[in-house]
Amino acid sequence: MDFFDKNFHNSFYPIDKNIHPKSFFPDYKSSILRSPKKKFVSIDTIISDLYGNVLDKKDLGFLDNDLTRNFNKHNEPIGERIVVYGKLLDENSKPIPNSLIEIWQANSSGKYRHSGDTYKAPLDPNFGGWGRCLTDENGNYYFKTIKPGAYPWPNGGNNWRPAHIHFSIFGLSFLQRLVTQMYFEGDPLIAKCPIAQSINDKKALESLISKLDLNKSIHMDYIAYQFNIILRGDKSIPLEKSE
Amino acid sequence: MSTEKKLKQTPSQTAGPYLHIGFLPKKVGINSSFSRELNNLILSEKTDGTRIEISGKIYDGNNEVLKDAIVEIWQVDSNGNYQSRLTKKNQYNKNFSNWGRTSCDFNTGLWKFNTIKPGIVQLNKSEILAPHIWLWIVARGINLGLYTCMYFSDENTHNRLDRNLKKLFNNSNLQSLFAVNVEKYKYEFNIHLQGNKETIFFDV
Ligand SMILES: [Fe+2]
Repeated sequence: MDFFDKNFHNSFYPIDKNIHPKSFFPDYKSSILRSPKKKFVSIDTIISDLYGNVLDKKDLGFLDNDLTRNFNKHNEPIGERIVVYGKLLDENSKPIPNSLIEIWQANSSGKYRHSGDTYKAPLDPNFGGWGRCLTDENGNYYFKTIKPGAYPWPNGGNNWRPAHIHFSIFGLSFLQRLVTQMYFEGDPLIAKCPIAQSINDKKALESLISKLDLNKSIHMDYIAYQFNIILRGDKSIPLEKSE
Repeated sequence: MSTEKKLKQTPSQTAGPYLHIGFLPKKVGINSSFSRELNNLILSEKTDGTRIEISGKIYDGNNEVLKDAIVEIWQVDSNGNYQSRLTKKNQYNKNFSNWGRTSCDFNTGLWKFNTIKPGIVQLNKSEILAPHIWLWIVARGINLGLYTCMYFSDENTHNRLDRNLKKLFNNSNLQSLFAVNVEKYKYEFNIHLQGNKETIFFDV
């Protein structure tokens, strides 16, 4: 392998087209005018390593991953107190350490702290809805927060978003960048939501639904949900034998 | 050796209309306990290189300007270097982060970065990557983050030798990848999501 291949060749497995939603999904009205129509151009020469460049441990505040306290550290928000935890891995099952994960969400009544949100539900003076953390050396992350409420949204009908938390994930490369949404086990609105249903593959959608985990719950404090996240894997790293 | 991947990728979902809370919380008044927001922090006073401003607007299929998108960029430093897992500690460029983030202005839709002109990357004796900046765009209505790449219209000599551009000389929308030099050190790069000026997006 020469210098060029090692450093500038895109060695990631392709973005899996069967798993990710199509750009154009007319049931989700906003995608109609915002989806490119031409075929994307494939190139394989790209510099993409984000290693150590985005955020350092020392840049994190110690409440950054505790949404129950990072907006107003003196008072707790209203709502079902939850821990969301999981592992960040790549397709080769390799844990991704030291990667930034950012989240944002509505409060327990389904209202966002954002000037664009016109839903009637109230803001919570003790809840901002922002959080972030770095994965540890084994790819683990966790957030303390409250369970967001479902909310109505303008999509040409009586549309309600299932309860969800938005995730922004960095990985080790600009090519692993991912934005997604985490849902909650048992929510009947998932099956009726055009955004969730923009994912065609049933198993892929299921992978966005966090699992209730009473073992990780903290008695008289938090109930836990598990959500693992898988980013594109580096195919230049040989896989171990499967058996 | 197994050739099967073990796990499936987590699917993307749109960032939705309230993405600023997560990406740039101060923009929507969430100022609390965190110390460092990731807003346009690509360079410092000590960064080597020619300061440039790049800015633009993003247009939808009705030619309306998006006012809610987030833009992130990725580029090499002025010497054509970037930092990676392979970079030796003593070669680390502490004054340049290679990565930046900003948002479209709520009123005008304009996004803007103050950065440095990226250098040329020498791939081998005859091939280079001309100065270029990668962009990644998310917004309501965008189901999977969009990658495009900005080149400089005043770098024709280098652009002709660029390994990626060479493959695109027959693409009718090639011009969409070139930022216009509107005044000294200022470049404009408008992005069209649809229409006859549709920007070239990449499957990377
Ligand atoms: Fe949302």
